[in-house]
Amino acid sequence: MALGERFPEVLQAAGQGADWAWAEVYREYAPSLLRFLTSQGAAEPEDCLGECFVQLVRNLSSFTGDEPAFRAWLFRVARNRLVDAWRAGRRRPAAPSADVGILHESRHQHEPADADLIRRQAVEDVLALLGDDQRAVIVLRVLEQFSVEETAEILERSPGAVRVLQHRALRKLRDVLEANRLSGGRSWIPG
Amino acid sequence: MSKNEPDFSRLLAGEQPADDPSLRDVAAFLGALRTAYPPASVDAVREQHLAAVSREVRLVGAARTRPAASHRARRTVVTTITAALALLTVGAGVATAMGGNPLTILPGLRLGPPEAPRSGGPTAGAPSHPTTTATTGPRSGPPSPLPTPTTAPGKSGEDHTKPTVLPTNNGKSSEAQASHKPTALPSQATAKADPPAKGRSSVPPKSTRGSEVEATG
Repeated sequence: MALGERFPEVLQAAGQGADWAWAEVYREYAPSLLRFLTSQGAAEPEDCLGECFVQLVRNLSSFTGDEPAFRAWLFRVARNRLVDAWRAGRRRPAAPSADVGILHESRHQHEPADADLIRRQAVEDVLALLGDDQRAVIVLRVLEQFSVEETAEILERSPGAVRVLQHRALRKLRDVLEANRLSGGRSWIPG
Repeated sequence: MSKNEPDFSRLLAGEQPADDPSLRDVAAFLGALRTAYPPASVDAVREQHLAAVSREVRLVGAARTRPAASHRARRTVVTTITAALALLTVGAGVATAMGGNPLTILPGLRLGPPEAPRSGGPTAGAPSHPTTTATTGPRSGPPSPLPTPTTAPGKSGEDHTKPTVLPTNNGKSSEAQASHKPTALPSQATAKADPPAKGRSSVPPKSTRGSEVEATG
């Protein structure tokens, strides 16, 4: 784990309001949290990340556990903030649409295209075809390497529900990718 | 495709599941997913976010000291209100025990013309129904001084057809009620006497007051 043996000390100091402890937590977990928020189609992932950390400060006193549990708890807070942002977007018709496809629009569309950006856009286009929870399961398990139980805790669902979501997501991916391949589209198979 | 965790584990590792070759594209896609999302850079927003965290830490710390004070204040208010209610209750009880009408402590309260005693004899707890011209305030004794006939709880055989005030006798016998002089109200420990009207003595005239004066709480 990122903090390892220092985790208890850092957690306690953060609970007492030590700035250095919060800087440590931010340094270790903010990049992966931002990656998660971006992959989930947050309209403003960096703003959402800031709001997550403010929420963490408010709720830290309610957390108990080791570092793996702390990491899962961080992602749960991030996920809940994301859902709140989606719901707020839906309540404001003038705001950017909460449609998944639009949320996944490349933020770099005005920048010079390169292979990495094109690949990322293609991945985002495929992820956009999944449901919100299916997409979250895929990212949490593939990118963040969470277990089924940890993913269930993050999504506030049962492990069985997570396995169902995972199965349906994989089946959807298989159908989409196969159809794309048969129609002459992009091949994901390297080489 | 089965919901087999080992199959997904192979996919996570970038391998094809043994029982489903069609997942080859999926395995490749998941590999591309990892490279498409490297750990994000937070350099541009780190200082801003940490400043927000520091502000929130101070707010949370201040909030932790505030609840104690607010709890004390709430407790004080509740205690004060409870004590005031208890005092009112005790005062009304004392007034009633002394045979007075605790309602007379209410300003502007005027007692109406006397009414014949109820048939069936008065009993304790019979409602007091002095005619009033003012809204009665909180009562702590027997029921309200309503000018309309009401049914006393548990009472029967009483005459409630008259739309005027029925007297109570505050536990006294009908003889006591009949012999009661509709004069000045008995002194009360806590009740205040109505201020006499101009040109009137403190003794209410028969025309406006009567045996119902004994309407006591």
